[in-house]
Amino acid sequence: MTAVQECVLVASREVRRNLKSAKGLVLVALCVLGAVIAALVMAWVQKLDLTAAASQQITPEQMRAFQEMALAKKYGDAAMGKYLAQAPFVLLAATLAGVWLAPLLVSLVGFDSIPTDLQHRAVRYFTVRVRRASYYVGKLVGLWIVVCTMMLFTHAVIWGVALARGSATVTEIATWGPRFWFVMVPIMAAWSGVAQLVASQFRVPILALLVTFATFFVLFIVYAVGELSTALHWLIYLYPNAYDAWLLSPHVEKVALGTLVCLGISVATGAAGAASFSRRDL
Amino acid sequence: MSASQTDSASPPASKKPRATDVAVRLRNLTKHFGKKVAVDGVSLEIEAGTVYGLIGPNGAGKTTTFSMMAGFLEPTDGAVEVLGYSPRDVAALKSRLGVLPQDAVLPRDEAVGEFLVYLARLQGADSAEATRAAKSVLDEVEGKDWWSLKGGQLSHGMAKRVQLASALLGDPDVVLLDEPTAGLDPKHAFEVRQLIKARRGRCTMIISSHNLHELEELCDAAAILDLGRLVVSGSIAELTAQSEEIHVMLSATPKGAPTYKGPLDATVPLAELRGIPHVTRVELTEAHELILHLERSPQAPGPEEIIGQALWVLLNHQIRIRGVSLGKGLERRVMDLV
Repeated sequence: MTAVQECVLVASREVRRNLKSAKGLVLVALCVLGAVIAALVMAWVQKLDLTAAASQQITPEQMRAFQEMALAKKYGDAAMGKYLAQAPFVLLAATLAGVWLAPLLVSLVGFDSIPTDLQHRAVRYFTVRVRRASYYVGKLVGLWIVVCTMMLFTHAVIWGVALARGSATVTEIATWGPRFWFVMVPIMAAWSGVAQLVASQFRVPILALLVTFATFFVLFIVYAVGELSTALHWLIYLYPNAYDAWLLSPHVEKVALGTLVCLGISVATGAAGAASFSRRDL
Repeated sequence: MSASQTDSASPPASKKPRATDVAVRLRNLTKHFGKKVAVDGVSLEIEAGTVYGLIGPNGAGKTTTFSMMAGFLEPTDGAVEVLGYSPRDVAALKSRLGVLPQDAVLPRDEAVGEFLVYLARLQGADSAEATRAAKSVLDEVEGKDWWSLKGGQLSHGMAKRVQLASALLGDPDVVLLDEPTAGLDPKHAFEVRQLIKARRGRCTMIISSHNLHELEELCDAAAILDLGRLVVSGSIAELTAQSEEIHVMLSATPKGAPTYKGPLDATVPLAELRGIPHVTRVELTEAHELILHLERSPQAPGPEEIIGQALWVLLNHQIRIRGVSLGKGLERRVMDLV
């Protein structure tokens, strides 16, 4: 049996268990509920904007130009502002919110995956049967699939609500919907790698969760310092969410680069975690 | 692995251990936890096909040694080889090493059958084979009705037997069992012992346990550990001095004198017993136990023959006998050593 086959078996069990577990079901329900509420709020905000614009005799073209300008300022790229302003506001806003919530979702889904096995020593059933690295990587891939699936549910709900409220057309949803969900996939991979690397160092799940939160907060502070400082601007690239600018870009090469970097973070943290896990006493 | 292997009375020839093979080899095995030395330079060779016991009081290093054999712990120094491989070489040992860890909890929310099938699949079985193997081992531990029960619904005894089933999956060549009957009621403990006996010769079994009577019953050989060091190892016959001592438990009062209250040695014919050929020394303890020490020589007859002569002498003097045993018993041997 190859290491890849072992990883597939471990990952598929992880997906099954997560989506069948009470915690998994609660998180899916919360994602769906959050998505419905967020979509309704955003649709309402968009309607308010349009109403206000109409009362002040602002044309839709002027509204779009304003959106373009705001997005160009946010990303420091006029072409990007123009590109993203074409997308339905609800879908774009949901994607940006999803990017910022990604670390929370990943840590809540993955914090207990390895620590619970270590705490109750169930890991001993597995490590006499599969390579430790396969166990670790399988768990990581499983976590990534689960959070991407949850995010897909969330996006699908938002697509439905946007369609029902008339905030986006079927064509817009069919083109922008998958495009925006794809942005989440590499970002989720990077966060999954970091979260599992941190959590797998602990035998107590709640401790793993707290330290994961703390690590993510430190990364956010580092990102904020990078944003505020010109000399230390490179620090923002230590924070996986910073790559959303690349992943949302209209330029394919930038999207590819962002994807590669995020997957690279996942591979690097996964390799470090697997190496550490392979050497430790269980 | 296949169900037919699991079901069959003996494993296929390719998996059958050879009598001369060494199944597990420990070389100067040492484990430190910080400054504490848990295992200190233990060297052992465990012959393939034997049932081997790891014996010792709490803190002797049994579980640490066991954990290093299973690959759970990395030795600080020295090496472990299982079937010639490091226990961490999972690819080489896949389906050849089964482990019953003492304190590993079964997943609470997963059905027993699903869990065992998953473990069998990790060992390389396809879906159908894995299901057959899982059902077979569950049947072997008398748990075929537990297929759909969740891990959290099992009693301690049931969980222990499911864990044992997981260790036997795939008919492994080496099975490590840590306290296999701990927490089981007498009936199920007996059944587990029968199961271990039934597997004798099909695989090498290494049992770590506090239950010395059980180990004496099950094991061909054992190692006694204390304070992390190997005190002694050898066959159970060697450890218990079965060919060197005969123990005869006497009744406190001689036959025909039920009211006799005097010392027993006044009535026991010690001199006559000393005269039996190949008996070197005779002791009578305060617990009314008569110990005959035998000569260790190739010319000496088997202890069974000397038992017959000793009993003849005792019965001729109307001494009442409560029991006879060969050797001092593993429990007493361990108490003497640790």
